[in-house]
Amino acid sequence: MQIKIDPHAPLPIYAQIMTEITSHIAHKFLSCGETLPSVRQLAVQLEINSLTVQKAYKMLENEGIIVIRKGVGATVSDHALTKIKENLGSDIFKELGGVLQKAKNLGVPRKEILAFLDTLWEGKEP
Amino acid sequence: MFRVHQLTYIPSDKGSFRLEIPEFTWDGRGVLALVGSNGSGKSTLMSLIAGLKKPTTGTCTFAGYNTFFSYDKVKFNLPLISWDIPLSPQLKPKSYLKLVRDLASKWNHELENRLLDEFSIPTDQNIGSLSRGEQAKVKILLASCSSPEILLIDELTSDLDTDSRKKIFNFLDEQVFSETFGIIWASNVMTDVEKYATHIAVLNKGKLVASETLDDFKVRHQKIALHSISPERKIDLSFLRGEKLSWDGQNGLLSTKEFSKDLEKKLLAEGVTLSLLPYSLAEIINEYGV
Repeated sequence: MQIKIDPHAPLPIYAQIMTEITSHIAHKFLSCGETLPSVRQLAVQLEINSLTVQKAYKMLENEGIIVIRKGVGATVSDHALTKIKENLGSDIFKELGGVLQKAKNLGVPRKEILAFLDTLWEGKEP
Repeated sequence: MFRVHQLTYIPSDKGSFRLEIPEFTWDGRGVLALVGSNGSGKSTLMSLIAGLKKPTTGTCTFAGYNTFFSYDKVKFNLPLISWDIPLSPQLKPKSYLKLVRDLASKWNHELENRLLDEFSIPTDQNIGSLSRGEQAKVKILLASCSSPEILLIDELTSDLDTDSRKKIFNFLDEQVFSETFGIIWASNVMTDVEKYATHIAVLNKGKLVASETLDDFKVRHQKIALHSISPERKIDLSFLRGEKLSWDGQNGLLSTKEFSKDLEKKLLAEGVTLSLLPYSLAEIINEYGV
């Protein structure tokens, strides 16, 4: 499994690992039940602290994307794809909320925004 | 587990330098990187923690023991590994091992055998004839086998050959991960700290100016490119005056020590879009004038 991290990136390393694994699952490079490298293996491969990898794995476990079992290690959970879609869904609404707030602050009227959304939805050039 | 309390240290020979740390605690799990320029007080603080220097006022304690006054109780729990504390060049690693083995209250024979093999240390040669990498490995071996709780490492790893470095980092990471011991690591090599530390403490002119998890530290410090939504409107950040940030209007670059959702909101409300840029630990530390 190819995981890329950039220690200088604005996102902390554990969060980059989470994004990478999630994206591998979403793109079906990793399927349900598949085993992830052990914490130590991945840490040695990426030349980072094992506790950072562990933090990423624990948070992915909390999100229901992977399952960690003693002696077996980390595997992709059966509902990983559903969970990822759920999380992305809430992200999209969060982003939309931010954009809407921006528009409101700039005084763009509600009617204009709705009309704009409709045009976009129908796939026309705004 | 480990605590610095109302600590001051005023050396007799260093002019105006004084070390002053009102309060600092750490649970001893992970790798705490102590960063700061030469003269910031890193090595002094390491010696104080190890109980090798007497604080002018205040205390360093480990598991309730004053590290200076109870030095004999804690010396094997808090070993300091530093080039400033050289091994005797005429002795052989073999003799050192026997010496420390006899003195230490607990000794891990299994680990000793493993490391002698893994680090391929020539036990029968004089220390003076060993390479820097081999000497570093001997120091790590001696400290690790006497059941330490926190290993204090002062700049040991900065100029080693790649193979020694890899082996040492790999071994230390394994020990920290299995919670055998934690590490306080004074280093100036930010590219290493960025990858291997879990916590960071920044020393500047004898004072701690930041201490937290490395993840929190990095999230807090951001370099942001700002673009005005309407090209004719100039970005005016005067409303943010007093907050910890520096603004380069020419290039539209904002660096901040206090990035938060709240700051993001304030900026968005000004009609700008923002994108977070790569920001290395070296650049961040530079901002502290360290």
